[in-house]
Amino acid sequence: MSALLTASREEFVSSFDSFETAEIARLSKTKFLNSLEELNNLDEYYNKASTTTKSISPEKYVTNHSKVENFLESINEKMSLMNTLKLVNSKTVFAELLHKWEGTIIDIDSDNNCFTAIIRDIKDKSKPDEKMKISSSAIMDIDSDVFETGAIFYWTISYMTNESGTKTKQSKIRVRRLKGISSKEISAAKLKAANFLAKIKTLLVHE
Amino acid sequence: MNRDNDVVEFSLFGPGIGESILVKFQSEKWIIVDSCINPETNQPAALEYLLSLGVDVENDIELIVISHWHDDHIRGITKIIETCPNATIAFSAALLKEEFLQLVFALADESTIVDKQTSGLKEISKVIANINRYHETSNNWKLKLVTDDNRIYFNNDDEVWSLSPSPASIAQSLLSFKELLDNQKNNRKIVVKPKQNDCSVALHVATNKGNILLGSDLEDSKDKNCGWKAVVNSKTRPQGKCKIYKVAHHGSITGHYDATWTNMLENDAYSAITTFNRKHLPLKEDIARIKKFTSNIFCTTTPLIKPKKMDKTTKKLTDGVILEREVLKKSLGHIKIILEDPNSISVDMNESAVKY
Repeated sequence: MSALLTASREEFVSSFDSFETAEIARLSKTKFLNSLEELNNLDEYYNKASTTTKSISPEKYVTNHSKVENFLESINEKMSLMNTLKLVNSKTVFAELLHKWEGTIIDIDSDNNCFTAIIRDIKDKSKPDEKMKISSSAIMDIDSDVFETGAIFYWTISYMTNESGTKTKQSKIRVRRLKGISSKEISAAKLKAANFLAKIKTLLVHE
Repeated sequence: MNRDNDVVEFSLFGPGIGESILVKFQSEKWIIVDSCINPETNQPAALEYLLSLGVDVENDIELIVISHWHDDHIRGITKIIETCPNATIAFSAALLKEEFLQLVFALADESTIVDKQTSGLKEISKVIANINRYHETSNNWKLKLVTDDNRIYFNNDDEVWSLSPSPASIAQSLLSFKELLDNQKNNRKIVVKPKQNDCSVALHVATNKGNILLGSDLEDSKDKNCGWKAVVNSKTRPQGKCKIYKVAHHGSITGHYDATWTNMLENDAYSAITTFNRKHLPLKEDIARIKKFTSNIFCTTTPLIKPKKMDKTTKKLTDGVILEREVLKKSLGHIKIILEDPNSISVDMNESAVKY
């Protein structure tokens, strides 16, 4: 069960990541932010479920088993939701975006649990770039594997309104994921470099 | 600022995160070292200035030096090269090696998705694409690979000598380029400015009115065969002392070597610094240290300014998350130092620049 759960979770996260990079540009910010929130909730629930199954009675296990099954169902539902997100009625949930920043991590100070980033205002591009020192606690656990110098992140500050009309404020940072450079790409780059060097020999001047 | 004739001019431009240098000889010929962008016009600062003076950039720019590849030294260099077709292009020799070119082609080739900021790789990629195209259409293009102690330009009394990179520095740089590429295999990200600047090209400009030392971002190194130690201790470099110094690496301690001041510069040399806001350079202690060697210190821009207050909601949500904020100021500083004769130097600055 645990393996199945992990596999499903990874599939879900992977699906979300590909969704984020490929589709984000043409999906509404509201739906994207809402999906992120749901992903967080799922993570939290998964963590609780996986720790409690280790030392529970058979009765409790059955109960948890049922919970896990529900969780898996929930994952399937969410994956389905993401695949058809554009069809969701936008009137049910909405967000008011106050700020959207793009940041580049230029330095990580592990000793002081913070990092330095150059921040660009995406919503108002007339604003000058800023250099900020930011607490590393703002980075979500699921982004820890890509939290490194040079990484790009997107930071949104928004009001979220749920179906019952409750309005909450939200600050969320997501680190960008781009497929790493492949062996094939490196081989192609090596070939281009060699060709270029051969070509420019005739241009070089020596005194 | 007015144009002066029959003088040697040194002009330094810096918008807070970059730098570009011009030197005009008595012959009315110019050299350009590196490039930065004027944030107000989005044009290469050096080129704008030359055009404002009415310089015939097609014929009077003799040499364009790409001292190294970091974004604060290279933005806009492609446009300069395109506009000055008769200039010789001098590259740090480390940049036309397979290890660096692989990095460029893999991460910033014209066909590759690249970010707004690529630590200069994108700009270098444009230069390479231009060289590729030019190679197919003309035989006039001249490229020069720059290593230590080479005369890369001369015209009567005027000479430009490269003082670095040393062979050991180039070897170190090539290793670091390979590491930078390997580091992209997991998740593609910005190649941020590496800590070592060993492959930078420092220059000695010799004229009959005085000499100029252009320190680029060259740093001191523990290895006597690298960085400033290799430069200062070289027996084959020009030995004349310099009146003007473009201080290395934005005045930081990493670019400082006492012997540079004592062995290569005249007393009280006119020292020009470009700021590097991302790292707060030069720091107060940097200025204090440099003051021990000269009283003539000029900086292209003033220190960082405080940002505007955030709205209440944002402030509440980011309290405890944003620990410090600073605005990366967008104004172009210009310091012009004129060598009228061996005993007469004058300085002119625009409103962004400051004297310490």
